[in-house]
Amino acid sequence: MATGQDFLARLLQQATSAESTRVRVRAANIESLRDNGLPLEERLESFKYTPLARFVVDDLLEERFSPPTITVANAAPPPEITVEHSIDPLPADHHPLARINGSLLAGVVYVDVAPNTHLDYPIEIDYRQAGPCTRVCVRAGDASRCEIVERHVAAGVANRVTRVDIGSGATVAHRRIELHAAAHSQWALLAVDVGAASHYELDHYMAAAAPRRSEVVIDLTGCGASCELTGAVIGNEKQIGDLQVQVNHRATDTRSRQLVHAIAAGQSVLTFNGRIEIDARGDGSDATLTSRNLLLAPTARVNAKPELEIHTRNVACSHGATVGQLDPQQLFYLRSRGIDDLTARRLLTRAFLLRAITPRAQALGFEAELIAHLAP
Amino acid sequence: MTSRPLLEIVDLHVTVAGKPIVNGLSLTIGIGEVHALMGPNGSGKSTLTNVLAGREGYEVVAGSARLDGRDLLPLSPEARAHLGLFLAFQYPIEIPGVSNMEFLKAALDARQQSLGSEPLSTIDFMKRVRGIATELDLSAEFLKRGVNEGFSGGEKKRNEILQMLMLEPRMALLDETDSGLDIDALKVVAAGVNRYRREDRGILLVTHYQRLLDHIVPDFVHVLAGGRIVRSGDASLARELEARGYGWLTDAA
Repeated sequence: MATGQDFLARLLQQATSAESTRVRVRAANIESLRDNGLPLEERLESFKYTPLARFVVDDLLEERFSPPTITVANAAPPPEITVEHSIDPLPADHHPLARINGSLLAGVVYVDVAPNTHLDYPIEIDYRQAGPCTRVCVRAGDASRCEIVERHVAAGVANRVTRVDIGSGATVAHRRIELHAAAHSQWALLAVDVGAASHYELDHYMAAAAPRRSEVVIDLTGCGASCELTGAVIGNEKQIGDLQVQVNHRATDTRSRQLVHAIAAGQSVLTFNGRIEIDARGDGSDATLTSRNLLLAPTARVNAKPELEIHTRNVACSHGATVGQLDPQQLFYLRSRGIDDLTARRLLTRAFLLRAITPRAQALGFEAELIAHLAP
Repeated sequence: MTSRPLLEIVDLHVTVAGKPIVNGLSLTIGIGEVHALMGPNGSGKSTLTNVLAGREGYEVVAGSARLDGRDLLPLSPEARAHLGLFLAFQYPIEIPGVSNMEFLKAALDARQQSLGSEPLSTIDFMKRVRGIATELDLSAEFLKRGVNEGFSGGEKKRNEILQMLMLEPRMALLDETDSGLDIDALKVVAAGVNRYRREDRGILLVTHYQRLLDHIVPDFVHVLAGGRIVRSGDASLARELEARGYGWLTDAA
């Protein structure tokens, strides 16, 4: 692992030496890194289990500027959507890891869904051939409807930024799975802006890695905007998985739902930090968060931390978290029917996972992929 | 009636959290026999069936229990099931997320494997499970639901009988399978048990009431009190208990 200063020096050297158009894309982020460095020494509470330094690795500097593959119905995108590789200058990012991302990018992939378009097929974003640093921005126009299926399955180290900007009166369903690359450090940021009377549905599934940290920030900025997050985090062996979700209610009558199940096997350490923030503009907000956590081994750990911050009065907000093991009564019931202990445990583990798998995620095969990750 | 013993319990002593519950119970059930075990609350009926099935939380301090001559007590719950033991639970457990169908298939596959047989094809399995469900007045939708999840009391008990008829155990322990059933459901359950009843199988009916025994006529009736059998007789003993209560027997115990 690179020490912070060495890494930064190499990053700046590489970022500024590449061809000029790219430097233009990156300029603000490069400048920001040069001026501010990386806050590797700071003890940030949200980085307690996955320290920033774990994601600052030399492999990110690999000279391979490959964006993910974007397909619709296994074909080139239809005219209602455009996919553009932009080299327009980017503003500086707030998040230090996004700043690294922004300093190394060759460009941003923009996917635009025209207003009033209803897409029959999902927009598939596949990272199998992608380079270490990527950025994709999906912009869903007013009154559009679309589904995004994002498969984070690259072989090596990854630093990914995805943005979803949703206009008003639109519906976006986003299915996301982060898998494989268990031996590499994986970081991903998903930032979503949901406009007035729009609905955003996120199915978010991730397998822990060495480590994997996934940050999701959903801003409900338009009146009547809503989001529903259903997800699972699973870990095995000595893996580390960290899911940080923040939902910001920034307008009246906004609604959010979060349901996340975590399953920790082996010596894995999983963290789910679900934060709901309702600011002064969030009158009439309605927010719930449910975190259920299953420990499959005495050596496994989960850190479940629901957080609420409310700056207005007229809101309905609730959260709950449970941590437990497989139910011995259920195990006995299955075994009394001749089902062996291991099979019984697998059935119950899968049952726990299934309660956080949406029908669409199941149809996409996410459940099976996650279960395979848990196998010893 | 003299037949080869199927289930043989000798001088069994069981404690729960250090407290003696079963105190020197002996009971032999021959092949082809139906026995009813009656007795007041707290007499040790459920403890006995749970110990036989291998539930945790019970300590056997003395005695033995054999099925077909094989010592049950050191075996895991699944190994006991593979020998042909089946417990119909007094309170069947709910398992959301595991469908009834998936559960039955896993149980049946495990049984076939233990017998060294090929697993049933999905088509044969479905045929069989649907046939039995229909007999028990259970709809196809019922098979898709989570195991016992949101089932009514009667549905849970019928689901136990469904499992018994699917798994075809040699020795069935029915723990208060009649409790919580209305008269129609009782008849359905009794018909299921009577269908299961065969000369190569044994049944132990644990019940509070004579009512069930009008529909499933036992060969023997035993009264359990204070963790021991205090009286044994034929079906007429159950009718006597219905008329006189348990007092005249338990006072003596």
